Amino acid sequence: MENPGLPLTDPRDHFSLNRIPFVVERYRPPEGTFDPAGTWVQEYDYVALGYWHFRTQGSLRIARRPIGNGSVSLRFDMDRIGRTGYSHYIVAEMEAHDDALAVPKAWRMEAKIAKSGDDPPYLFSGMRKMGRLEGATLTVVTGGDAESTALPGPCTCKWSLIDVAQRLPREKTERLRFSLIDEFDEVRHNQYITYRTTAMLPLRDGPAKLTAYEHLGEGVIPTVYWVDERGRTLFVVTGVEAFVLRSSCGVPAETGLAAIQGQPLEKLRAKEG
Amino acid sequence: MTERQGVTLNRRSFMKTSAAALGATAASVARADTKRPNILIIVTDQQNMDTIAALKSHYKEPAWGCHWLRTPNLDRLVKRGVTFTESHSANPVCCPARSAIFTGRMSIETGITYNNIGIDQNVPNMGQWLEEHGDYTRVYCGKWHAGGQWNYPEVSGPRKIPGFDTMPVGARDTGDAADYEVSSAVEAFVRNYREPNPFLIVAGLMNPHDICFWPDWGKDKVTTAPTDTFNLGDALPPVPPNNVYNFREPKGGRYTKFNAMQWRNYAYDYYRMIEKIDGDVGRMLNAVESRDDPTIIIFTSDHGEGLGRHSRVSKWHPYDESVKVPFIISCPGLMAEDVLDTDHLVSGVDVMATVCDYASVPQPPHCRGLSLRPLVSGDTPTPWREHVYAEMQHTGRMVRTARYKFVKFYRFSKKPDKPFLLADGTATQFVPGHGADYQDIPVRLLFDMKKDPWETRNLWGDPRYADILAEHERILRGEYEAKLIPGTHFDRN
Repeated sequence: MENPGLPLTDPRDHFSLNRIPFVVERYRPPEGTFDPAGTWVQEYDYVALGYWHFRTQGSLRIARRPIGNGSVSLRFDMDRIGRTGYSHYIVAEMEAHDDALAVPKAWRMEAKIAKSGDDPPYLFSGMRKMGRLEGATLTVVTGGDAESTALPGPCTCKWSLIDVAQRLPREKTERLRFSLIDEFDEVRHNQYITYRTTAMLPLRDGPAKLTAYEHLGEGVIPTVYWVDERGRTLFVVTGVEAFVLRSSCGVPAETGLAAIQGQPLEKLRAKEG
Repeated sequence: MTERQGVTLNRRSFMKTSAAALGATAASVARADTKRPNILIIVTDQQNMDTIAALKSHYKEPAWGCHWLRTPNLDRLVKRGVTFTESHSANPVCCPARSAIFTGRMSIETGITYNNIGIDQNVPNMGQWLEEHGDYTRVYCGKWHAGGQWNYPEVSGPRKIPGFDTMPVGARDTGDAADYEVSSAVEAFVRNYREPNPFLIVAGLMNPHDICFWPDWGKDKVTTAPTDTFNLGDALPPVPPNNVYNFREPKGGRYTKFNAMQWRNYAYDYYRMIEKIDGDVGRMLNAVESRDDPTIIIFTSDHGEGLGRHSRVSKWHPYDESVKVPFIISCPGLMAEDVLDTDHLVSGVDVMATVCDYASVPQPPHCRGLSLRPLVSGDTPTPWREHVYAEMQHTGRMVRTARYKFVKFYRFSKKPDKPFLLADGTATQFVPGHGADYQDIPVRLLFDMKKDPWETRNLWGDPRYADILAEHERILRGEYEAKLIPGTHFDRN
């Protein structure tokens, strides 16, 4: 992990990490090997950084599996904690090209408000959608309604960018340009992701070398993906939300987030000592 | 100016030609009377009037927001409905504005003149009123924030909104976290609802309110970059032309911590938030369009955002960036389409009156709003108000006429239990300046909104405008302050 050529970066001074220095400094990544291009499962804590107190808001699980013929299977499970015991659940299964952007071929997604992932939707809130990309035409089917949109050029899905960042070169290259299929149904054009910087960050067990990629485009608050040397996206930071890697291939990280639930963000962001 | 299918008409011309141009529409309106439409109300949070790309023809100067974002779904809504550009928040702060939208009363009457208190128990909200007067299914999803310090309603208990069923989303108070949940749940509801009675559903989107976390308030620090961090170059919007100005105002309100690049970065991120909610709006529009029965869509916001204009962030103040909000009504086939109404002065209180009209129920007592239905139906021209009124929390009041904006400030020494009781305990009428807690601030603002749309020259004190000033003072006192019935705030926290 040592790299004498890089000075230690205080996350409080960094353009993206200044929102979550307390996460960086408490964080111990999962042990184990990792192949970004192989089969893996990663789980993230989803945190919102607005208002005055830190709280975990939900979780995101991504499973990736090459399935041959130049394709991969991606599965996304997202839940956001709601009110009075209800949460919002999203499950999506996708077949995508095994390429740099994981360009989708077809997917199915379901969303609902419910008391648990197994419970029926509350008050007509259940929704299923299917999407497919054939040539330059994107078709999204909702219920019995199909809507087709011209989508020339490469594209990817929002949460696929966690996978994409893990497989990007660890050096400055051309911007990878694409259209974004946001929330599996909304197209946003003029996007790019690109290498931003490499920094030595003070994780719990000492300095660790992480690489940052930035994603900008229409409808996107500038987003930064932080990837470690094993190729795992540890942190995603955008606006007032962040994702923190909780486990990789079944091996847990030590995030330290449980101990700081409800604490004032101002206090957490202050430098200890 | 009214634009219709590329032909520019003024509003009067539109009305005169409406019978011919909208013959099919008029027939549809007549048919609609036999079946009450569903109603979808979308309320965003802190969205400026000029943040819809389709309005470039109206907001021609490149400093306006519509030149710096892409909003295909809001554009679609504009194209399929009537957009009111003279649309004003009743009180440009979350709780007061929302209380006005959902009761039809001014915020002094709902008892909510600042954030985090509840609506007077004697003032019915939209859900309660429709529950009492009809069979509409009434559902609320997303940000409410007119019932206490909490934003998101629960399905039961003290944080349930009276009169509404709740689709519970949004554990925390950011649009990033909640808005997709809202639009997804509302989309599902609209697509799945198959009951015989019509529905009213409200989608309360939180964004672009997240921009409130960008300024450094001292404890919620989310740094707005002082440099072009992401090398955005020409993609960064310019500093607004009225960022620096020179006239007297009450002390405070200007945000002085940003340099020019921070203002530009701030605006860039704000416009991305608008684009985010544009996707949410599109999801709900698609759902409405999938139905066979008519659904009226009312789109508005609780208040605007400073965005560096008048050196402001956030809201609270009387300038247009704070007071003006989008107001679009759409129902393809049932009303005029692609009309930009730049003449009629409308207000957040008009939402309630409009909903009552479409739902075929009477307006609640003392409703201050006017139904926009006659304006959007292409019917006979309707007598309309010549001035619109707004409050600035409990410290300011505004009267806007066709040409001028007049603003009067008060200093309020404390937050009382019953905000607008007079010193002797009577509460029949509100007379600001009277009572122990009010002090008149000897500063007024008067702007010529036609000559000076960026509000850079205060005409108050200029003897040439003495008559205009006196007339606006008279309107404020005689038409509003003497007539509004003060409410008592209700603590539901």
